[in-house]
Amino acid sequence: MKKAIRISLILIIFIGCFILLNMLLQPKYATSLVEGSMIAQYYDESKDHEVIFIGDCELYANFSPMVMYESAGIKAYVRGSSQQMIWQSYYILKETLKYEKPKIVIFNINSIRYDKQSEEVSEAYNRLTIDQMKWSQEKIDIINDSMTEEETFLSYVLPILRYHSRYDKLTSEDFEYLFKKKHNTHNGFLINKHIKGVNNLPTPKKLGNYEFNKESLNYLELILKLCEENDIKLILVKAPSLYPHWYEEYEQQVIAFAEENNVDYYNFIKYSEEIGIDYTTDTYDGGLHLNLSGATKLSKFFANILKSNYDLINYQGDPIYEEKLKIYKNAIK
Amino acid sequence: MKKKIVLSLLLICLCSCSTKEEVVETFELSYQEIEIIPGKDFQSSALKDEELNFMELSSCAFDGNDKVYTYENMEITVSPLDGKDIVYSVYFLNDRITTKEGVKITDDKETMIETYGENYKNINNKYSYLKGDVLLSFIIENDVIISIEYMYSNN
Repeated sequence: MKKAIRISLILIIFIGCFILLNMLLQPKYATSLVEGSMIAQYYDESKDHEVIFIGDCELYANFSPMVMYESAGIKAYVRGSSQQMIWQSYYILKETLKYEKPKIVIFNINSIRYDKQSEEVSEAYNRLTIDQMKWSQEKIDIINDSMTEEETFLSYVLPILRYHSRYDKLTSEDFEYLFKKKHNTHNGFLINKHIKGVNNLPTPKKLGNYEFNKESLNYLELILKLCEENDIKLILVKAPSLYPHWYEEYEQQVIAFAEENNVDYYNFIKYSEEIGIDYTTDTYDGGLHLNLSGATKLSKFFANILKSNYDLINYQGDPIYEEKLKIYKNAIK
Repeated sequence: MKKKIVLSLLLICLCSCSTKEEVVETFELSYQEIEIIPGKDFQSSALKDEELNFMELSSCAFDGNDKVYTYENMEITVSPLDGKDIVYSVYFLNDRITTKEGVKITDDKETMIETYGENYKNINNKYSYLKGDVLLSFIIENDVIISIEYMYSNN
């Protein structure tokens, strides 16, 4: 009997240490590479959003839900992550719908240009989106659908297999955020105040084929189907980022899809003048992403469209959001 | 005596083995007498006078910027790798520049095959030849080359 207790205790201690070591070695994405913590920050939020954004960096850098709340009383959240591929967006949406049913889902269409063979698909970006997701069927599916040839499923289950070599790179961040998360975003929006205007842009490269990959299109259809099944209005957007180049051939395919499926589509590159975006001052990296000033203009503009054309409640005065707004205003000072 | 000869031969053999470097052939090109090899260092200063535009492209999340140098006839993208800036891609902008083997934009598909052979991979009209760790790609439209690009491929 005593022996059994002793063995159990040893086993528990061993498993405990192993779990702790896994947690310690995994990147925390708290003070550097903060984009890796965005997906997980959503779990701590109240789940009463009427608008959910799903997609890549063109969302979390360009659309500020707190500006949309302040100007139109919209409760929105951006479930964005860096280089979030369309198949990942599908699973992120599926996971989100387990927590809440928004009235509108907004998907940034930029990622439809990529397929699973694209050079933009990489483990580094996969990790930023997937590592901190809570375990669920969606996490299992997103891993299986995203893994590059060099990755293994097991390395997502046991991060120590992937991050064992981090032992000599551990910083105070790894200990400080071992059991807690740092909230770097404001309802999924990442503030960036730097200014680096558009100077030059690389020449748009000719492609052998401009048609979207069938598999990627299929994921767009799955996103649409998911929205329809849940009585959610899907809106497609193309954020006003100038690079990578958004080809006219892409635009025409999205317009055709939107018309065929009765989906609204807003390409904000075309609206940039009306929005008042000044590309010499409103971007932080030469036109890839808007900075705080640009995002504020875009968010006000889009909030006005949403308020005028869709059946959304004006939540202005909501105590929780007023508090959030205070924190946001303090952060942008 | 025999022993000495054997030892000397062995020594010569060892010396030659240790100094012999494995040379991997790759695609490369020459521009204004400057050798440009994808995957290798890029000395932008050597082409400073030719430079028309320059821009830095940051990644969505990671440190290190790609640098894009635009010249009259080509665009070179330089990426950070292991602390060094290496040539990632060379993109031809017009038909005033040729590959080292003499192929240019506006040449026909036949010229490409005559020059580089049939050992290519064709994905969506993009014909790619791999030599060492450099991919040389041609986009063909109506049997005419409309795009040429060298790309470092470290896979």
